[in-house]
Amino acid sequence: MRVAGEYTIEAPPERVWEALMDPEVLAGTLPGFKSLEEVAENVFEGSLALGVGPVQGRFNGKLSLKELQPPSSYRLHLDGRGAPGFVDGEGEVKLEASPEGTTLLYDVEVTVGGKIAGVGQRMLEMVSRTLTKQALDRLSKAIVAATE
Amino acid sequence: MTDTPYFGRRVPRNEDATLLTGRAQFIDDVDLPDMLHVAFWRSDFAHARITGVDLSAVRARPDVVAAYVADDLGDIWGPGPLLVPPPPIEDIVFHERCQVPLARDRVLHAGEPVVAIVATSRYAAEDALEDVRVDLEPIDAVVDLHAALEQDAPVLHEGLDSNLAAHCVQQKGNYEEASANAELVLERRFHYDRGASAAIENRGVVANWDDSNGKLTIWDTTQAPIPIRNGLAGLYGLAERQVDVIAPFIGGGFGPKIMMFYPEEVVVPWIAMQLGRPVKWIEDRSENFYATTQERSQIHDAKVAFDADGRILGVHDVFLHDTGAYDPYGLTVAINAQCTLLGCYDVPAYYSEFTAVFTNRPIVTPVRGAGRQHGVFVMERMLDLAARELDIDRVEIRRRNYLAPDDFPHDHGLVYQDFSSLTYDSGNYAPALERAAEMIDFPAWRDGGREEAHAAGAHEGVGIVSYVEGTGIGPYEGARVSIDPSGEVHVATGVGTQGQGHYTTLAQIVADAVGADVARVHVVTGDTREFNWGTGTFASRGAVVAGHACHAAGMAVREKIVECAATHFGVDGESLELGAGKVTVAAEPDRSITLGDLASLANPLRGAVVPGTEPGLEATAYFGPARGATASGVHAMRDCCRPGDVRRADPRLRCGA
Amino acid sequence: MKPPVFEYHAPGSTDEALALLGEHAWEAKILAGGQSLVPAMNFRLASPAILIDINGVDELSGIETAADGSLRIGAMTRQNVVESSDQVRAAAPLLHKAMPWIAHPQIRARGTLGGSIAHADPAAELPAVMLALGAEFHARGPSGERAIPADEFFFGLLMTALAPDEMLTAISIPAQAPRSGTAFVEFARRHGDYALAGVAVTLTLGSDGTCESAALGLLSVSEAPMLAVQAASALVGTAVELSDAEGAAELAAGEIDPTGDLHASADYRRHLVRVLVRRAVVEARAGIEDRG
Repeated sequence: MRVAGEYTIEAPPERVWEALMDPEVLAGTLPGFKSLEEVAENVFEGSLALGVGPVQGRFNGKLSLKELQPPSSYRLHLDGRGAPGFVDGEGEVKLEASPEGTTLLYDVEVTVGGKIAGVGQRMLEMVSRTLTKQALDRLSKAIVAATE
Repeated sequence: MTDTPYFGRRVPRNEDATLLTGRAQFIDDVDLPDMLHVAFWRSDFAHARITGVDLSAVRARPDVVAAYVADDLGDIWGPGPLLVPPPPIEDIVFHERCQVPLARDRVLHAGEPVVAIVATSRYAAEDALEDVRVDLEPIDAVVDLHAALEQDAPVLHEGLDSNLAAHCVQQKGNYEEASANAELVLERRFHYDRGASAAIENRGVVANWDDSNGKLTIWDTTQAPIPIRNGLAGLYGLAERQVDVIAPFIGGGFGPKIMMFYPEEVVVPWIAMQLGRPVKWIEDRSENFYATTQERSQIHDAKVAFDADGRILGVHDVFLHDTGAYDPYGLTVAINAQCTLLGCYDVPAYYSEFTAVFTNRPIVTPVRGAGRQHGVFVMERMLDLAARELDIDRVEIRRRNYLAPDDFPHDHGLVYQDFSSLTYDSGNYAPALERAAEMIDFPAWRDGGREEAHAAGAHEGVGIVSYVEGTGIGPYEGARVSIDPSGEVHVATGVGTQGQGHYTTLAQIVADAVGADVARVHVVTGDTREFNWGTGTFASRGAVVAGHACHAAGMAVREKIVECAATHFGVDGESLELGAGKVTVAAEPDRSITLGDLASLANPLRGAVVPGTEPGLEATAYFGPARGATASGVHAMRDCCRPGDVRRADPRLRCGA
Repeated sequence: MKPPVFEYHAPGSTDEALALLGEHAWEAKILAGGQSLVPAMNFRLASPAILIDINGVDELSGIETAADGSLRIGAMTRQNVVESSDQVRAAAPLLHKAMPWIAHPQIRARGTLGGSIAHADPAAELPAVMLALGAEFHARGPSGERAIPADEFFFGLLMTALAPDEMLTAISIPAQAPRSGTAFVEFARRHGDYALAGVAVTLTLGSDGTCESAALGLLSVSEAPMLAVQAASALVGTAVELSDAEGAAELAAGEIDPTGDLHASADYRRHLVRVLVRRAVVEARAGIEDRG
């Protein structure tokens, strides 16, 4: 499943980049993350409770950032596993300066397996849309709040 | 038998009262004191390397009694048995790779179990699953049958340099020569996708080890309890007589329950022996979708050569068969597809080549048809396509290609799944075809009915197919028939029952043989305590093979009845009549004796049993056919796809040979 | 497929249920018919620590017809009771028509009207029907009762305007206006499956015979059930001829942003909406003529 789109944040790319590299900001904005620890350079681990409405699952997640080109792009790999199944994502994030501040472009190929994929198949794309929007809204708010 | 009051007639089913009043014992009804419950941790990944397992948190849970990984299983860990070796076909290649009780180094399909957890309830066992830590390194999954054979595909099994599981060519005549002057050669690719059988009752195993008599009792949803008993006894180092396998009422078999030595079937009884407590595992519906064997996926590349009259000159079919992660059932499904493709038709030249492929999908074993329908589909589609190309109607092109009634027995010169030659014992196909065509009024559809319907806004379609099915294969089954002094007749046979109605059909056979009331004939199936020789219920063989054995045992008892009654009445055996549970002197209707009284007479407390005879009215007999029986049939359907206006839905006709 | 441990409460009244909910809001789930919640718990995809079973709260069930002909249906009213209710058939024919499309009879025998609405599954029939009916939902919480119009209720995927300590208690449905017609159509691979797309329509004609108002509820084409607002307003003022239905269908297909899954791609869902809206509008319009 491809999760791709763009999102406008009212802050310059440098500021957005900084936030994206900060485990504290990420933990506060990525949905479900309880904590996020940098276990190696640009590799973050944490446990997360992901879900929508009453449907929730606990995962152990690992986020690796690669090919960093500050402040314009990086590639990411997300590996989440837990009792409900697994989520594996590989893709790219790009930041482009825009009149409003920054356009964040994301394009991630996501593989979901296990129970969530079997039982929740019909909702997977909706869930990923909902969670992505949640994450970007929170990220934007956090950046804008910090800038103000 | 000249007179059959029961066989072939409608009778109330013996098992219905038990089933309808909820007294039938299904596997989850087995409830033993102090019983423990098992849940399996299964891989979500289809293909992965296991780099570590941590069960410390699981074992620390108060309601968890034990947890096992592959290395804990000791001597019982290892690949399961090859259930059906490859048939004796020249140059056949077969790589045996059977499933293991718990995956140790690699998981090869989603749903493959890695850990077994034993707890005080299934709830507690499932709670503990969440504490299992298995480190898995995913490997690219092999799913596509063509890609699986590419050089760069990840290879599933160690010791093999590709995912090729088997390769087999069978042919008769010479396709190239036969097709050289063909009017029409059709070439098509056919995809057959995966399917799961989804019985109403999932699988389950309950096991109990009794230390006081050294006996292991296993309740198992198997179609073949005797082979399971024998195999498990060998695996556990027990004598066969120390193990009993009971297949209770089973809510549907359809093949996957045949005799798999599934991981759960091997591990659960072993746990009961380890812990000295009864243990239960019931497969839930989620597990059923990936832990139970499946079937179907094949890709056929077929060519059929026809002459101008639509007669088949030759068939050339090359196919890939998906065997899943392991191949414990050998090549039965693929051989069935190969041998059933020829159908009812006179095919002078046939070239069939298949390659079985290991993939990271659940294991393939026979499921409902066991590969036969794949072959039928290829041939019947090709005939429909040829009919269109050559402007012959679809009924006619089949009729033209049928083997003639005097062509039988017809030896195709191929080796069938039961290792004997693919020989049709008998057949007469045209009458069934004509009857089916008449039932759907095929001529009316052909001669304008279709266009007429279309003009009225409906798309009316016709489907008509014929097929031959090899059924009732060996090796053998047995049965014991005995008459109780109460007059009740008891029949025991080794095959399992999964809803076929054996309690009635086998009783009908025996009731006629011994002259009893069918309702007083009590059949026991699938319980090694009662009968422990035989194979199982599959390949449409229960009624054919076990039915014959029941008949033979019933007739042997009949002889004893006659002999005993003749002595009792002081008359000649031929002057006696059997029926309605008694024996009567035909010429003197007042002189009769019930079967029960006769059974008492046959087992005297004083006096002698005549030397050379046996006490009681009891006999055991066996039946083994030289080869499978041939059945054939035609399915026809005329249907209209205007919503809510199905004009003639599913008038089907199935005729035996 | 066994649920994890949970604490179970079975209150006998709405007040008692609300007190429990107030105490445990974030950890608790209300158990109504259980046709979505219980499977999710058995799959361990939902693991509420506390379950408040309101099946014993009799005052939450029942159908009342008010003097103005409108309906007030208790949230715990079983779907099969709604399906066979003459009151519902008379006042809200659209709801009556849609009921048989919900899953299977066994599920409708347990499932409740309020449970399906509060769960807000995007593929469910009832939320889309409620949007097309202009229904109003009554919720009770610590600060009393409030009424939430259907079009302000569904927020996102399985998300509603209900606060965690609020409970849906009843649903009000206005009586169908004179010279109105309705239709419900959906497409599923097999009857009873989650629909790939579906449409609920209400049309009302004015005295001049043109469309005075229209509402089109769509299901299974976005994260939440939605109204096809542009399509509906395009119908207003027309005679609702086939070409008008086609125009509305085209607009509806344009105002959705569906997702794809194993059963239907986003493009196919868009196609279905185009076909289903046209059929539904034609059927609703024809229904008015049938009634004279």
